Amino acid sequence: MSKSTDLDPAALPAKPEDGPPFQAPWQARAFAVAVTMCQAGYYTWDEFRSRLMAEIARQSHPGESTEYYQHWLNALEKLLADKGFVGGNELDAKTRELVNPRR
Amino acid sequence: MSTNHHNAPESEPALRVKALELLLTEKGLVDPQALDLLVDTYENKVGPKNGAQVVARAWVDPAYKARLLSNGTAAIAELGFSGMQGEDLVVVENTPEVHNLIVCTLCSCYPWPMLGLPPVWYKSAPYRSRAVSDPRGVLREFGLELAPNVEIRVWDSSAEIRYLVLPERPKGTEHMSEAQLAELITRDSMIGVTKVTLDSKAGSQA
Amino acid sequence: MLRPEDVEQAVKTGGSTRRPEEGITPCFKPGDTVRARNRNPVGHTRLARYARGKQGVIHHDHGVFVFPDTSAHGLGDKPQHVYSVRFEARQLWGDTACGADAVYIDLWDDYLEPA
Repeated sequence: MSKSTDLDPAALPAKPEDGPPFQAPWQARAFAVAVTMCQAGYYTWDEFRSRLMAEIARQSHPGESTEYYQHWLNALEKLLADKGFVGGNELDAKTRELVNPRR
Repeated sequence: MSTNHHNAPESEPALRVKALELLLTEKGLVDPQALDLLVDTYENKVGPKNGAQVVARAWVDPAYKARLLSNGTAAIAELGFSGMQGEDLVVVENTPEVHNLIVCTLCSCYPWPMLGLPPVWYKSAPYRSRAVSDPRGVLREFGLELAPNVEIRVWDSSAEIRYLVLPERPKGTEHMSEAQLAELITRDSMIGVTKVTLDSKAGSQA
Repeated sequence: MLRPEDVEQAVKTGGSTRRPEEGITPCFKPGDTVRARNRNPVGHTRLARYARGKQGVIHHDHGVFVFPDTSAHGLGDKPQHVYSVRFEARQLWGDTACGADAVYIDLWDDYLEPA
């Protein structure tokens, strides 16, 4: 599960004085899906957080915000698959459909 | 927010999220309008201005400050603040002898009702590891140098409890109103990476 | 499904995992010296790796909460006390750390043993 050390000597990423919470619209949507489905009672926040922590632990280099939300998305997909709401294949297929709608 | 040009490919995560949202909507598990409202809440309505109000109140009202330090959740509720990622809030006070710093080494837990969503650097791997292992180095990067005899307390939000730093009130603010004080209190001072100074500005963040 | 008209209330309510304390005895109290267990479980845990096997002091008992190691994986709530535990920086990182400094970590009862 883990890398041998948590210590990371890299400097902190560049800090804009005040940045928006989301660097791209998809991040906002991924955030909102995770939160509203929890609030609707489909899973607990602990269940989501566990998977988020696992995704982050897999990371091996310092991340930007985009990468952080990639972890968030991965965690969300895993949770939804575990709970039987959206299967991985189903999501892959729908994504392909959006890329090439005439297939 | 970026605009999607007709002929520029959307990024992979953007497509995936779009596909996910479509599937979940089809299945009756999410309502896109509810998603819109939630995004609006955290982009525009919840933010460090909330925490600044609480801190300013604590600075002017010693009885409120005592309640805040004793039961953060109840005290912020007096001012109308509550909710997700703030259900169990503990407020820790900076003094000349003790300086507090907040982190979540495991992911990025943060007191949303007080500060909104966390900044990029708070979620980064370097911050999450160095806040606990080298807090003085982190503070130095934010321009804050503390004497060796000042005790730094780093609070790792590994469970459900969320932390907020009550920064020291700077000298020279005795004449200021509560509202004027709130304008000085920055997000970073409530995380603990900086202090509040007379030059601080809470900024444009909601 | 969360409806648009319910968003505001849901945001303001949140979802605490705190549970009643009756019948749930804490193993420790403030001032006790404890050691974080040196477990490296296959599954998920909130026990910070940097604290494993380290000695600390109970600073505060936060009360009883659901135990996510089990509850987040369908294995039951196992409610138990969560403590703020103070670890001296030198205990965690050695003598290069500043002697005045400390890290406070929130840990479930199951993560701790007497030192």
